[in-house]
Amino acid sequence: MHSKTFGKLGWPVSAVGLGTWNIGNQWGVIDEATAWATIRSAYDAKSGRCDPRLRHFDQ
Amino acid sequence: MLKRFNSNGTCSVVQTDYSLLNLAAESDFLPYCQQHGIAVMARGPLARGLLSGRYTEESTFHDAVRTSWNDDGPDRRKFLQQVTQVQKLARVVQSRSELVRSAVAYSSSHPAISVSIPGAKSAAQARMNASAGKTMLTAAERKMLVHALS
Repeated sequence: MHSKTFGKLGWPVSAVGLGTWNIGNQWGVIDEATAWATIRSAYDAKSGRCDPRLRHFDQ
Repeated sequence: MLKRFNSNGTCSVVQTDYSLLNLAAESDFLPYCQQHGIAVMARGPLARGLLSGRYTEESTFHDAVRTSWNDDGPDRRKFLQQVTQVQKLARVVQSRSELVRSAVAYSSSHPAISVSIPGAKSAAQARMNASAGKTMLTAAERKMLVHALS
């Protein structure tokens, strides 16, 4: 996984992260086990940056 | 709007829609962010799944986000145009996996983009998307992908 710099904040971040709108039940129902497996998979692949839209998970 | 928001130079990060099917940010938005050190998170690098190559004119959508692409939806015409563009792009890459990787890498490789955040609905999709982060495309490679759409 390539690392890039997060603008003037200078943080090293993964070039590819995980958008989580999809597992927040906006795109059809995703069960909780699948949602967690998706996050785990991205984490294991070093997609360290997650989209804060995870908050939609409980809606 | 961003210029006004950042008038005192305190904006550190923005998120914008950016993909091979939406290059609007390239003309002014991304250069401005790069010039001012504003980190950009690129959302929609797969254009709501269109750039996965999974969809055809026969596809029907039931989720809240994409029903506008259906036969009677307001975005039907644009959807069909974009499906055609993706089919052209698919001809120049090796496989559908490569299509996904190319599309994600297109966004993450722009120098102004700090992180591209493709969505995933399964562990396999998340792995596939993340694998695009192993590659940074050159400007020439990126240009070739844009060219392949037309």
